[in-house]
Amino acid sequence: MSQSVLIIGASPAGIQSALDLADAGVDVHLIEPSPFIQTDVHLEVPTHEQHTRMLEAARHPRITLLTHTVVETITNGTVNYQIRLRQNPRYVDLEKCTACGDCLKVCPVTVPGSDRTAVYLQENAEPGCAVIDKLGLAPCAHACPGGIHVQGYVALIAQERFQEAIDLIREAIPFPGICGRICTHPCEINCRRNEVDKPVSIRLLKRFVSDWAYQGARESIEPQADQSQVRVSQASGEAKRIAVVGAGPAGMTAANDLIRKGYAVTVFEKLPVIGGMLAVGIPAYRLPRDVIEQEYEVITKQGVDIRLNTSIGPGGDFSLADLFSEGYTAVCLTVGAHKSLSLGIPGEKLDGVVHGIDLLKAVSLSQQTDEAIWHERLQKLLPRGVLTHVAVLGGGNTAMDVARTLRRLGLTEVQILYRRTRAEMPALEEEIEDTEKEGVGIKLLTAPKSIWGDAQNCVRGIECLQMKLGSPDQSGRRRPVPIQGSEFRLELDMVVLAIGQEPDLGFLDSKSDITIGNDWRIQVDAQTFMTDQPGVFAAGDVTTRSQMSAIEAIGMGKKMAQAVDSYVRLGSLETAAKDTEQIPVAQRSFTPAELKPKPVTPVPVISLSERLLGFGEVEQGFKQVDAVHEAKRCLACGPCSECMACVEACKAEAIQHIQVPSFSDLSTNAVMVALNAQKSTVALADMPESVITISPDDLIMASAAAAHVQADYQRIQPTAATLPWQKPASKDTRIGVYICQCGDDMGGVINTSDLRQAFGKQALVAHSDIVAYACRQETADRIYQEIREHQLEAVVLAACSCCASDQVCYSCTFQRVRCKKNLGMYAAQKQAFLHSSNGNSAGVHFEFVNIREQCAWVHGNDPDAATQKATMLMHGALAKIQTAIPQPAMEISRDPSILIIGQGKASSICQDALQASGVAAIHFEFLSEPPNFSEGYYRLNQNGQSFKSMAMILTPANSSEAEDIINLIDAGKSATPVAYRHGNMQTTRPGIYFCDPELDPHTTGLAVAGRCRSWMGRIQAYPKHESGYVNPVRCRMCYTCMEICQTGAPQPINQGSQRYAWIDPAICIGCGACAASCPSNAIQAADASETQLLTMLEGMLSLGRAAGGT
Amino acid sequence: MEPNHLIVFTCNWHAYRGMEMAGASQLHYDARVLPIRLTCLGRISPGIILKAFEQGALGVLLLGCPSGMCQYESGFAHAEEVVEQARKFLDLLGYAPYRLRLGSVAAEIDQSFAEVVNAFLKDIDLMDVTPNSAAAITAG
Repeated sequence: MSQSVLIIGASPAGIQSALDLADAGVDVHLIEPSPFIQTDVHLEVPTHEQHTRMLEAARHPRITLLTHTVVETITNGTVNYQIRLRQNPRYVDLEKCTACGDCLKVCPVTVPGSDRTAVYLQENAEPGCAVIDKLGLAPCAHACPGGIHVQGYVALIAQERFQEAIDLIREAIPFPGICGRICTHPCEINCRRNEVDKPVSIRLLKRFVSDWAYQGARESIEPQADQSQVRVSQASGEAKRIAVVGAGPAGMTAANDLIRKGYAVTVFEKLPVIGGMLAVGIPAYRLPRDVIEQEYEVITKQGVDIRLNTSIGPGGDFSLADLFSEGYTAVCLTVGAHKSLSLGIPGEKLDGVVHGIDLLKAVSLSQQTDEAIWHERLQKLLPRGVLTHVAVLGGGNTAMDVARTLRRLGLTEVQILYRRTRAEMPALEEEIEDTEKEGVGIKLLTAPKSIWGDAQNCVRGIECLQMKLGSPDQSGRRRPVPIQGSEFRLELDMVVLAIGQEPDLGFLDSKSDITIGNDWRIQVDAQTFMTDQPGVFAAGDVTTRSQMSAIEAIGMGKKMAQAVDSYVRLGSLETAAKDTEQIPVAQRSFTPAELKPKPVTPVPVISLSERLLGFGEVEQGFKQVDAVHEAKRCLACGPCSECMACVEACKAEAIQHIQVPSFSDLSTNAVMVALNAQKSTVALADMPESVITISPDDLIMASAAAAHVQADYQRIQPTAATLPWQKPASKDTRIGVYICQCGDDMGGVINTSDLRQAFGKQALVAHSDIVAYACRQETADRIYQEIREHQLEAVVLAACSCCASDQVCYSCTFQRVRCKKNLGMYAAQKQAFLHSSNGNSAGVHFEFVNIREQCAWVHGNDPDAATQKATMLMHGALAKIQTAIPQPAMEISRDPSILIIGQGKASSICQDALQASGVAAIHFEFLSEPPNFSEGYYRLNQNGQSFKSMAMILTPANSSEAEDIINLIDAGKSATPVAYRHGNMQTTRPGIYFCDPELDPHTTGLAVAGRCRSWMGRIQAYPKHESGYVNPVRCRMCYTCMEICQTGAPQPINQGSQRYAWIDPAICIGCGACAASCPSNAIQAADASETQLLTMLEGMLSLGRAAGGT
Repeated sequence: MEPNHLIVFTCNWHAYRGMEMAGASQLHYDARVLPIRLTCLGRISPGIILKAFEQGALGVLLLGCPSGMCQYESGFAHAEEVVEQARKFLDLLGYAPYRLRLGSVAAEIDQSFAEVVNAFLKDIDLMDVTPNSAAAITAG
C-alpha cells in the first residue's frame, strides 16, 4: 500500500513540506482552502521564487494539489487517518482557463467591499485561472419559480446593458412584459434590501427592459423567429406533435419550450382570446392587452398553432381520446381555474350575486371582442348601471381587481368586505393601496352571514358579522371568530364573490384515468407533472390549490415541458436530481457601507382622476435613468449575479455555472496543518491531536516536519527512470509544426493561417496544423497521435509555453505547466505516457516558441510585425531542432549515503532521522583529511577505512568549527570553494548541507536531514535535461571548466590513457558558463550548443533580411 | 540588406521573467526585438555576438539579473568580460560599438524590460540618423 501524507494549507511552509516529502518519494495530498495559493509578501523569499515553488507543487507527479478544498471529516484510525475532503466549486475549469481575462471585462458585478469583479483572477497567486465568487443562488433568483437569473438582469440593467438583460430573462421565460407588470414578485419579497430599507423594484426593472426591447430594437426577437423557421420546417416533416389545452401562461410557456425543442405544438383555447386568466382575469389597467399580444406573437411566430374557440371534452370540439387518435403524442392540460367558489350562505342564488371572475371576464371580453354577447352579459350584471351599490367579498387580488374595475365602469359605491385584518389579506400591498386610493372602502373583520333580496328575487342587502382573530389555522393565519350579537346590515344592489376559484373539470369524461384530488384539482406527479393517464400532463391552476401566480404557472409549464420532452424522446420520466437544486442560497454578511439606506426610486403613475376615466395602464414604468438608478440599489448577494455574460465571453468554454461541491475520500499516514489562523477557522473542524501543526511561513519547521513524518516510515525508494533514447536530428528530420490560437489571443493579432501555410511549405516540415488551445489534454493527445501518423521526430509548438525543460523557472505559468504536463514533459509522467499510449520508446524532440507574451500581446498594435516576429522566432526554433545533438540521458542511481561532519548537537538528530528513513548516515566529529569529490561521490579515508557518500551535512558546534570544516573541504580536490549563506540550509555546492550552529539544533537537524533526503530523491527520480555534457573526444583536459564552475560539477575522469572532464548531472545547474569558456568547444550546454545558437541566429535573421529587402 | 532587428539575449531568470512580465501586462514595445533565451548570460561567447552582427542584426542587447542577483553567482560577471572582448572584435571588424549593450532587468517590475529595449533602440536609431550627434550615448 502506498504511503501518503495530507498537508492542509498550501502556504509557503505547506509547499516546502510537500516538495520535501514528494521528492523523497512520498505521495502528498496538498489542499488549500482558498481558491488561490497566495504569495506571502512578508516572507524573505521573493514572490517570483514563491511562484516557482507553487508551480513545482502543481506539476509534481507525487503531489495532488487541490485548491478551494477543506477537510469535511477526519478520523484517526489505528494506522491511518480517514479523511473526507470537500472541494468547493470554482465554476471555472482549471484544465481550460487561459487567464485571458475576457470574462473579467464583461462581469457586471463589483464585489462589495472590494474593487474586483465577481469573476476574477488574482495577481501573484496560483493557479493562474479565474474563479467565480459565488456563494450560491442569490435569494431573489432562488425565490423565482420561473428560474430567472434575477440578480443577473438587475446587474446588467445597472450597467445599461439592456439587450443582454432582456435576453437573459427571455432565456428563462417567454413573458418578461407580462411578468414585469403583474408578477407577484417573490424575488422582491426575498430581496435582502428588506433588511436595510425597501426591496429593489425588480418587477419594474423587468418591465423597463421589456418595454425597451419592444419599443426599440426588435432584433432581439427576430433571431428567434429565424431559428424557429428552421424548426418549423423540421416540425412539418417528422416532428412529434404535442397538444396543449389552454392558452394561459402555463400552457404557453410549455408550448414555447416544446417548439424550441423541435416539436410541433398545437394549443386549444376555449375562449375567443389568447392569454387565459391573464386576459380575462387581470384587468387591462394592470396588464394592457397589447403586451399579451406582443409576447404571444413571439411564440406563435416560432410556429405554435393556437386554435381559439376550441373546447376539449364532452360536448366540445375534441375529446381527450380524439387528440391521441389525431396523432398527438402527449397532451398538456393547462386549463386553469375559471370556476368561482361559493360562500354557502343563504341568498347566494339571488339576482345580483355575481362571481368576481365572471364579472372580470365579461368586462375584458366586451373590451377585446366584437361579440355582442359579452356586452349584454355585462349590462345584465349591472342592473342599475353606475348607481349600483356593490360589496365585494374577499381579500385577494381578484377582489381588488373587481372593485377597481367597477370604479372604472363609473360605480361610486363600491366596498370590500374581508373577514380578517389587513395583515392577512392575500392581495399584494400595492394593490390594496391603489384600491383604497381609487375610492374603495375596505371593511375589515367583516364576514357575510346572509344575503337578502326583494320580491323580484333581487339583492337588497347583506347581513354581516363582526369578527375577531382567534388562533392560527392551517394556513398559519389567525382564524376569524364571530363576535356574538354583532350582526349588522348593509343595503346593496349587488354582491360580488371573490373568495377563490377552482378548475372547471367538466371536460374530463367519467371513464378517464386522470385522478381528481379532494381539492377538486388534477393530481400530478410532483416532479414530472404527469397525470395517472400516461402521456397526459397538467400544470398551472388546474393542479394545485395554493396561491397560484402567473410566475408559478410559468415555472410549472417549464418543468412540464422538460418532462414531456423526456417522456416523448426517451419514453421514460426518470428525471435526474438536478444539480441546481443542491445549490445553496447565498447568505453573506453586509459591509457597513452597504447597510446605508438608499431610497427606492419612485415610478410614475397616472393621476387618480385619469385612472377612473377608463382602463389605461396605471403604472407608467421607469425611465431609463430611473431604471439604472434603481438597479444600482442591488446588494449583489451572490455576489455573482449569474448573468452568464462570462459564459458568452469565454472562448475556451471554461466556465461552468452549475457546479456543486465534490467529495473525495483519502486514507493517509500523517496529517500536517500549515495554515494561517484566519484560514484555520474555515478549514479545521475537529482535528485529532496527533496532527502536526507548523507555522505557515516557517520553511525550516516545514522541512523538519517533513523529516519527522518521513522518519515514521520505512525508506521509500525513488523510482529511477531513464529518458528514452533520442534520435539525432539530421537534415531529413521529420518535423511537425503546431500553432496555438489561444482563443483570440493569438488569432486576433497573429495571422495563424498564413503562419501555418508558410511553415507547411518548408521542406522538413512533414506536418503542420493550428490548434485551438495547446494547453488542453485533447490537443496533447492529438499531437501524439499525429506524431505516430506522420512519423514525426521533432515538434515545434508555437504557443505560450517557452521551453521543453522539466524545470520550473520564474517565468512559468499555470497554463505552461499544464501544457507541458499534458505533453508529458515532466519526466516521470513522460515515462508512463510513452510506454502506455505511444507504444514506442523513441522520444520526440520538442521546441516551444512563445508567440503570446512575446508577440501577440506586446505587438497587438502592429499585427503584421507580430506575425513577422512569430515567423522569425519559429524559424529560430526550427534551426535549433535541426542542429540538436542529443546527449545520452543519464540514469543517476547512487547509493543514498550521507557523511555527517562536526561536533554540533544537530549531528545526532540528523543521523537518527536519516537512518530512520533508510539512508546510511555516517558521522565523524573530526576529519583527518579532506574528502575528494569524484564520479559523483565524496570519498574519504578515515582511520584506515575508506568511505564514500552522495551528500554531506556539516554540523559544526560553533562558527570557528564551521570555518575549520569548510576550509578542510576546500583543501580537497573539489574545485571551487564552499560557501554558506546565513539562514539557508544549503551551501553553494549542491549536495553539501549545513546546520547553522546559531539555530536550534533539533529543528535545524531535522530540517537539514529532510532537505538532504529530498535532494537525493529528486536527482535520482528524474533524469536531468539541464545538465551540460562534455564530448570526451574533444576535451583536452585544460581544467577551464573546473575553474569556471561554481558548483564543482565538472570532474576529471581517468580511463586508462584517456583523460577527460565529466559533468556530474546531479550537481550541474545548467548555466552554460563552461560551454561558453571551453576553448575546444567540447561542452554542450543544457539549453543550446554553440552550433545551435549560431544556426538560430542565421535562421531568424536571414528571414529578417529577406523581409527587409522586399 | 537592411539590418532591422535587435537580438536580445536574456538569461532565463530575472531578464526572461522581466520580458514575460511585460508580455503578461501587454505592454507594447518595439517589434524589432528578437529574444533568444540563454540559461545564464554566462553562456554567451564573443563568437555568438559576432554572428548576430554578421547576420545583419541592428544591435545586440544582453540582459541578465540585476547586480548581485545572478542565479548562478558569477554568470553576469562572465558576460561583462565577454562583452569587453566582443567590443574589441567589433571595433576590428568595423561595427559601431554602440550597437552592443549589456544590461539587466528586474523580475518583479513589468515596465523594466520594455523601457530597456525601447531606450536601446531609440539610441541606435538616433545614432544611425545622426552619427555625429552630440547625444552622449555611451556604448553600454
